[in-house]
Amino acid sequence: MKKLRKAYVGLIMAFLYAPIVLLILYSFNDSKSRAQWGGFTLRWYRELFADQAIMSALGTTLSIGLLAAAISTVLGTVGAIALFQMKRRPRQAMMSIVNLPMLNSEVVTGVSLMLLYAMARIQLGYLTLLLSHIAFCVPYVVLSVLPKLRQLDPHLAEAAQDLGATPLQGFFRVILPDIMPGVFSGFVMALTMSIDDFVVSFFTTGSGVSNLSITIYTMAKRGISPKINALSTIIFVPVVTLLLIVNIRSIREERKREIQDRKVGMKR
Amino acid sequence: MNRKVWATPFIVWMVLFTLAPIVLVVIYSLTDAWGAFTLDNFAAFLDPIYINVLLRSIGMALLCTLICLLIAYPAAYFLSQKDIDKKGVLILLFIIPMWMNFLLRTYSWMSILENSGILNSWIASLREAIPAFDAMLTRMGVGKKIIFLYNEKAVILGMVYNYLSFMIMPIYTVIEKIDRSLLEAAADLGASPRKSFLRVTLPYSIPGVLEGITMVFVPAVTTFVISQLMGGGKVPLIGDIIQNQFGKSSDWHFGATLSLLVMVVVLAFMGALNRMDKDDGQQKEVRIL
Repeated sequence: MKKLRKAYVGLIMAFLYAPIVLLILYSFNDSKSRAQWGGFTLRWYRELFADQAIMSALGTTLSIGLLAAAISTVLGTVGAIALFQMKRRPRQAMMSIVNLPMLNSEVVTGVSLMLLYAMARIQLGYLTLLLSHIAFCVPYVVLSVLPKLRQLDPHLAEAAQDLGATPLQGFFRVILPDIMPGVFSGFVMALTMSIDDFVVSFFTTGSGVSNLSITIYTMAKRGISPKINALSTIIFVPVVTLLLIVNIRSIREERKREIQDRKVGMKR
Repeated sequence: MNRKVWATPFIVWMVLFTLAPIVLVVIYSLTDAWGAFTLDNFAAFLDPIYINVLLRSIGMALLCTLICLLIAYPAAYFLSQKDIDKKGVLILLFIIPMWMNFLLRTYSWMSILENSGILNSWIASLREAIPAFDAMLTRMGVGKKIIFLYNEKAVILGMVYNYLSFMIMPIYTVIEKIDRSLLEAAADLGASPRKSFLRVTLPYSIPGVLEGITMVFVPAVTTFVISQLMGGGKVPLIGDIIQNQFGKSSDWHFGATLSLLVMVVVLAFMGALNRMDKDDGQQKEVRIL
């Protein structure tokens, strides 16, 4: 039975990873006909780095990601505090607006923002792309900061003010350090959402500004190109390595702690 | 005073960039190109072509959700068992593909399945190597190149591949949280493993299942990327039609109408799921809000 379970999980792993492994493998394939193996090459990587369009798209993705994450983190944190201090009725009303982008599908979010920019006569481009990314990132920040605020001791801010801190000082010295983990995870979530986004970007960008997702989409629609394989490898390998390092360390530490706890328990 | 300072910029932002756009969708759907009120856009939707596309989108999304559920539930259940080694690493391995851009994940299947793709070239070399295999395929009427892409099956495969992890994770999280002592109590009271699964694990895992269903169905019913890349435009879904209205055909008012209808479908679906989720009052509150 245990073997059967393992085999099942293994099968799903194979389903999830086989395409990715093949993708990476064929990025080193020296052959014009994409399916035959023609020996090892780094040619596609050289062509990738020489491709102006892809490189500028990469720049756009990173700059939009960092800017959108930073701005939506500030806005979302402020928003979470505002929501936390509101009375019940207005808070419920605001919460339903905050939840809107997450209930809606990405297509609707993209289309609706496009209509907004048309109405306001803002030309589609970098600015509209940035605004849209902030728009769909803010709710995630709010929802990751709110629980931290609920855990906060309500008397802390009062104590700070009693001891003569201005409200602003109170915020930066007392509240912010306590909710920092929520703020940070909101930032990371916003960054990944922004870098990964295609649909909303597709509808809200224009005049030659495109991010990596849009570039990949246009290339993939035209057909298979080993350059995209090379690009996937470059994106995938560092992310996986980083994730593995971070998580395996924390898993190991947890196990160590467990073993220690057990030892302590035995001594008693 | 302090309260308002915090609240104002946030409220203004949310109203401008979240509420106003949705209101605009409603306004556009109810007006014509000159801004006059009309119901023509809704009447235009009643064309069987569009209704069929919407029904197909819903049908394919439901099928994809069902397949994901059937694959994911056992996987999530097995992963949550105590005797699986290196559980943390396994969970991580399930999450990692989600970190890859979904266009690239879809693209990887294109490169495998296309006519001169990896799978076809493997089959071709297998045929050369093993004459018996070649003879068998020829007898079955299989051509030299098998067409895998650009049909409904390919689109479903693309959807399942992209959204499977969305189903596994919530179910796993819920099963993992089930109080072990409940299962022990069931066993102590004489329940067989099968019975304790049916009476304890399964009912307690329903909120995770519903969460997974939402996370798979919503992106699946509105996708236009997967249908265009894996379906090659031959299997248009409602997402494709919407995208078309804001691109080539450029009828924004009809596009807004279709978006509104999709929104209604999604909300109705979630509402129905919520009703099934009666036991879990707290979660219900969050979703409806």
